[in-house]
Amino acid sequence: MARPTRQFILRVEVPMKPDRSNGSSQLIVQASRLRKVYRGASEVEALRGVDLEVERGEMVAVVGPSGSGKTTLLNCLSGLDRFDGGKVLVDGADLASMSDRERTAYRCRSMGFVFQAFNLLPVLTAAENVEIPLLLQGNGGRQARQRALEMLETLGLAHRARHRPDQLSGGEQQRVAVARALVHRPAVVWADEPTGNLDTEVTQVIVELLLRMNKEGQTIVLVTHNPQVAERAARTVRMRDGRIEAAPASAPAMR
Amino acid sequence: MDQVLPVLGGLFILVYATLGIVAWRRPLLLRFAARESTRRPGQFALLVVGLMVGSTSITASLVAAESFTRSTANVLNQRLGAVDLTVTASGGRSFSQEVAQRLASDPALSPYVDGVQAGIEVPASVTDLDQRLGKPGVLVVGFDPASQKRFGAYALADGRRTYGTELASGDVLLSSALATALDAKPGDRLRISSGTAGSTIDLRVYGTAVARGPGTYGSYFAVFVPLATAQRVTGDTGVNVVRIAARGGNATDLEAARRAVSPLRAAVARIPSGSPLAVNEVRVDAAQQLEIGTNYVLGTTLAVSMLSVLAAIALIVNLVLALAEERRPRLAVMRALGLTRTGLVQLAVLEGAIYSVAAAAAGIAMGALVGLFLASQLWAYALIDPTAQPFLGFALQPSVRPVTLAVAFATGALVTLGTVAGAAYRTSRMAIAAAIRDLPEPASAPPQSWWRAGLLVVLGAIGLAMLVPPDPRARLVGGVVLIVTVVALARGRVPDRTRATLAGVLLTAWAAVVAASTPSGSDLGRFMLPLFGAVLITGAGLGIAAAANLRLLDFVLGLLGTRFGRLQATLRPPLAYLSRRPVRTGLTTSAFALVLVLVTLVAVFVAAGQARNYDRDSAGFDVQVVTGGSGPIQLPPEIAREVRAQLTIPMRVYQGPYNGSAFGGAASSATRIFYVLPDEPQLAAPLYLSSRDKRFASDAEVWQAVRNEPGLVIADWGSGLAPGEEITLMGVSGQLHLRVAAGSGSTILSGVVASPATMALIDTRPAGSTILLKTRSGLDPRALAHEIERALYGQGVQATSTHDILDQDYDSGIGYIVEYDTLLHLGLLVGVLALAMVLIRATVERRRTIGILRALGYQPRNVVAGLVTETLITATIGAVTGVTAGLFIGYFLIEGLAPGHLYGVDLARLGVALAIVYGTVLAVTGPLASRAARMAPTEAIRMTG
Repeated sequence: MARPTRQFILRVEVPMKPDRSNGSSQLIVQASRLRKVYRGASEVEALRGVDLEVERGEMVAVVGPSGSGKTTLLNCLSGLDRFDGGKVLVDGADLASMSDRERTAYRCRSMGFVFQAFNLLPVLTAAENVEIPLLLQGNGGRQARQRALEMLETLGLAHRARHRPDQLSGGEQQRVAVARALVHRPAVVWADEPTGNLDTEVTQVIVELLLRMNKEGQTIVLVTHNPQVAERAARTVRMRDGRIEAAPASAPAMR
Repeated sequence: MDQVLPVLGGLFILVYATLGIVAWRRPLLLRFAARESTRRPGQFALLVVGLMVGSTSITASLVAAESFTRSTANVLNQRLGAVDLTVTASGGRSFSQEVAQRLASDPALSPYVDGVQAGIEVPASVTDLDQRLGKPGVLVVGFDPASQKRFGAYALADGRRTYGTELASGDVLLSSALATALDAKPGDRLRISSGTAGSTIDLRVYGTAVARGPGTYGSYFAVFVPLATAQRVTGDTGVNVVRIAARGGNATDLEAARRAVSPLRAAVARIPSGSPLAVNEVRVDAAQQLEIGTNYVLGTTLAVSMLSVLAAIALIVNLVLALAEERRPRLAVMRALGLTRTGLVQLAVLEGAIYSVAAAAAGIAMGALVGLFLASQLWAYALIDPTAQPFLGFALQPSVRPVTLAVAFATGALVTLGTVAGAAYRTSRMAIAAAIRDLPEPASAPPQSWWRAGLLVVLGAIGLAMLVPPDPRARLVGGVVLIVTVVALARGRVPDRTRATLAGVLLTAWAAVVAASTPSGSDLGRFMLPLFGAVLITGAGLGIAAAANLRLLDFVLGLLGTRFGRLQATLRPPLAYLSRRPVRTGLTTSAFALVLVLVTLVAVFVAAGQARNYDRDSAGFDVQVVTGGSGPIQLPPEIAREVRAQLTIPMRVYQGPYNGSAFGGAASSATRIFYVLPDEPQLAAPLYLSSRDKRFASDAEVWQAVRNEPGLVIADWGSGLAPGEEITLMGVSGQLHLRVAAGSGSTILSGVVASPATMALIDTRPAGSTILLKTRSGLDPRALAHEIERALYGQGVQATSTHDILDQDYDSGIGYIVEYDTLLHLGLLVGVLALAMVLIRATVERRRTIGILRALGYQPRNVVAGLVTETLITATIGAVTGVTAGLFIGYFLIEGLAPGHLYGVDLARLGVALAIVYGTVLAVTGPLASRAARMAPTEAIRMTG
């Protein structure tokens, strides 16, 4: 039997379909005057008053040269990192006012992550990796396993469920990472260079996957260096020296 | 030690000189190594502390053993004084004083001998009539004042010195211990009653000889009397010993004593004598006994300290792997820039050399202090040993020799460096591209070379061949080699978990088979080594099998439903990490388990010792009365009324060549007490027996056989003789072999018990008697003992409650065990530190994993719980394995070596050990895990841009 690689039937459930009928209530991410300073031997201001809004169901690509602050922006918006000034509202929740514990719980509940280096836990199988967010939310083991397997099946990886990351190809690992990011139906999926470690063919597969997820209503914010990936997003935000160079108005329709 | 130094020193110089050459030829590596080691002073200090454990342990055991040995040597040399050789007649009988005169004037002997003294040595009971106090077991030492100069002057407590010429007829000197025991003062009237001589005479105390020079000769409790007075004690004009000082000899020079032996024998042969005379090499005998004792103490302390070294090696491996993991990206960059894999190993070893030297230097300083503490403890326990009378009155002589420190330094440094080199070779394997980006190492295909397969097949064949001989040691090793080979060959063909489970189960089963089929006995090589090897392998096997299947716990949690989902999420990573590396987990736990096995054994032995079975060990007797005097003991009527039953056992003294047991060793002239078994049928079993020959079905059979079969004896508890072993000594008609039928279980009688028929075969003389009394119920035996001493002081009687005798015996036995417990707890602490190091390594290795988990929603408390649980699981596997194996082996040893002792566990002691383990694990790992959990997710997964 041919191994499914590109032809996926997406049945991903997302929290809410994009509803663009009324204005500001559709904003899922709102950042204003966001500042982030790295303090070391000398201070580096990585974000210098960034304003950004992302609508529910939108797919936004953040691009820019190295050191422009893309990943820092993603870290601050997703609650992975603290920021030094400004305000970030995600789905109405103010990240600045949250304690570390609250932000962690919020990430667990409402966010999904896809990293450039896949960042699967090397000692767990694909299914076990995908189950983690569900178990953390308090789902039972059986229920978590069932949903993880469904998600892997959706992404064409059912036959690899019992394999560990080091037994998977790069593309397969990233698809497992995508499954892990989606399995608990987060409000936003944050993807940091999701195709950075992949070849052109597999990059295409992952991009198609993200686009389909977005089409189903999943909000996605991705950071990329790859212009081919960026141009597939509904909106591209360009960064340079910690500032947004150009932020076209939200245009959720996919190309 | 002195013989080991050239080898170890040479190896040390060779290794470090080679490293010096490498450093000289590759200065870049040296620069890197130096900078890496000194970059963080705090980390450097931490590493040195971690690495110094091995050197500390080795130094401590060597210093403790050498201090103990030096102290023992001091006692033996002090007791001998200037006497290197003696001449005695068979059975310690007297002979003409002329023998000494002829030897002194023999021109053929004068080049070898410069001191000859006629003397008398007899055991006796002594009573101070003015103080009304008596003491049995006193050695009467008769000396010739005319020849005393060569043997030294007696220093008296009042500051005077004397060779004995000032002593009037009837004047005696007391050893300081005897003077204290009798509360004697100059001028007191003294009564000496000798069962051997069959006489009782009254003398006068001239003074107290301090414990120096001839004042320490012979025994702790001694009376020094001029020869003429001593002849009044023995009742004849002869002497029973000629003391010889070799020319040029001193306390540590055995050569002078050895050189004089042949000429002395020749000279003795030229002297006509009524009874055959024998030359005894007393100094050489003492040296041999010292060597046996040294080997025993050194062997046991080194064996125990090796456990600490084993745990320390695990600590070093984890330290090195943690360091390598932390530096992996920059080491990979160096590899990318052109540094070869060998270069990488050289770099690690050069850095390790810096650490190893610093750690060894710090370790020997700490070890010397620990060793001196241990030696003082050992000495203190030695002094309460009922058989340690010769040691009383002597202080510990600390010994910290440069040679010992050099050996410990070289050993510690080489062990550390060797471990670092091995670990460095392992970490030098890296996928450079992945390592530079700090990504996980990609999986490598299982090696498939024919060379490897061939080597494994050869190893398997060797293992198979080792199963053929019946030697349990070979069979144990052979089986292990075979199992490991088969498991290695199955790599890539069988799932890893199945392979690890099979390996663990097979190793455990094989160890159990060998342990069960090993014949019990005290032979260290054939019984103890396979047994302890089996323990080690059981620990590793169980650890590996348990670790490989920890994931089952995850599975079980999954079945329990929603309430356990978060717990399952928390425990999943630690369980997975432990399961994925079962060999690493198994080895960590087995090193730890081995220490716990021995801690458990101590708890079992202490429980056996603490189970003070007075009724059994005293065989129902309440008071022991001893006299060295000549007459029979007649209890006064008012005391006799309080006695329900009594057993009078005549004592006889043997003097001559003696060879019995590994502990007693061989001596050309030994003095041993024999107890003559009374032929009273109602006393079917007068003493408790702790062991008996297999041919006897019951204790009663043993006593019956000892009564009926001449040559069959019961060995005393302290002799170290096991049933079936032989004692060789001089009989009335030549050399005689006595066979041990059983071992006595207490020190109520501290000598060999034999029937009158057997005693008739041995050349002995009377030495007083021991009376065992059973008192009427409700009477205080201690009070009765005091009453007997007061009533019979004139006969030099010593009465003691058997309860007190047994207490001393129990305390002494436990004391020795507890002493090793100190070393074991040191090992335990190192084992716990090794576990903490495993956690440090885990946090370093898993920065990225922790970051991912935090990003996905793990709270810091989940991370802490996961890491601490991982260490606790490792500790628990080790603890369960170690304690279980310890209980099993303890049962085996108690049943095999000390049957009759109650099997039990000192739960408090074991509880303290386990509390130390878990308390330290939590105290050390809690903060570490908490620190790791506080790491920002972005920092852990290094997301920057």
